[in-house]
Amino acid sequence: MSGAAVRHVTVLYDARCNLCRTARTWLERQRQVVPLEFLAAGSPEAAARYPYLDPQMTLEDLTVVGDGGEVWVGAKAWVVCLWALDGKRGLARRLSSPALMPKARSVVSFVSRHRRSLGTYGEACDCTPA
Amino acid sequence: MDPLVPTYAAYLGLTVPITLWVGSTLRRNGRVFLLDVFDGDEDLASAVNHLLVVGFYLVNLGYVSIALKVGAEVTTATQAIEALSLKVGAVVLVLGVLHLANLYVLNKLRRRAQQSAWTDARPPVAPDAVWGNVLPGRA
Repeated sequence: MSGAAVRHVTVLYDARCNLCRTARTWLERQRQVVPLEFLAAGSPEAAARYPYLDPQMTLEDLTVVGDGGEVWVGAKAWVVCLWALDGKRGLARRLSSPALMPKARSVVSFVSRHRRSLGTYGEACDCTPA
Repeated sequence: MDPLVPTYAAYLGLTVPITLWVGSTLRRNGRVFLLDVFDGDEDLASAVNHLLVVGFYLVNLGYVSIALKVGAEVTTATQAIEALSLKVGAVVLVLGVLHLANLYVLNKLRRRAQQSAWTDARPPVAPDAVWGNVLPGRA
């Protein structure tokens, strides 16, 4: 793939959702090759830093922003998160293959759509959509 | 004639072809791995493959040669077959271990090549959108 190397990524996640917070904690605990920064989607800080991103959209799907302005959404965002972790690049590469990417996309979108019923939702909400 | 002489002849007649067979298998299939490791560089892959196969032959034929001598007394055909079987078995096991060790090394090389190719690169998926400006706070 052409272009400059991605050296830093910001992960915009739904901080209202328990499942998403669990995923964030898991990602944070992994050793990172490319540093991951977490930002609550729809928070004032997210709006200030990424005015061109629709807050509602970032609340619906996991969104990852690279330091060069690249934006990945949904399953692709997950692949980027895995790619940023030490020892998970093989998995990221396999998932991104034409054979697995559609499967990954449907799983991620299923979980994303049903995350309100998977675990508690709306607690510890420190963010309101701008 | 000393009954050991046909035993030794049979031993060499079995172990040397087996070694050659394993070596040629290694040569044929190891090349595919090495081509991947060296990013399709045919010359380098062939060179490293050849060196690995030569090392394999040296170690194995050396072992075959050293292990030739039968310590036990051989006077009957049964004893000869038993001694032969023990020797050939040992050689085949050593071949097996060496072969697996070789595979392990090839795979390690391949993994490392993949890892280093990914360092400093970009994620394996294309972004959904790109904004030209460097993001605030990261300039």
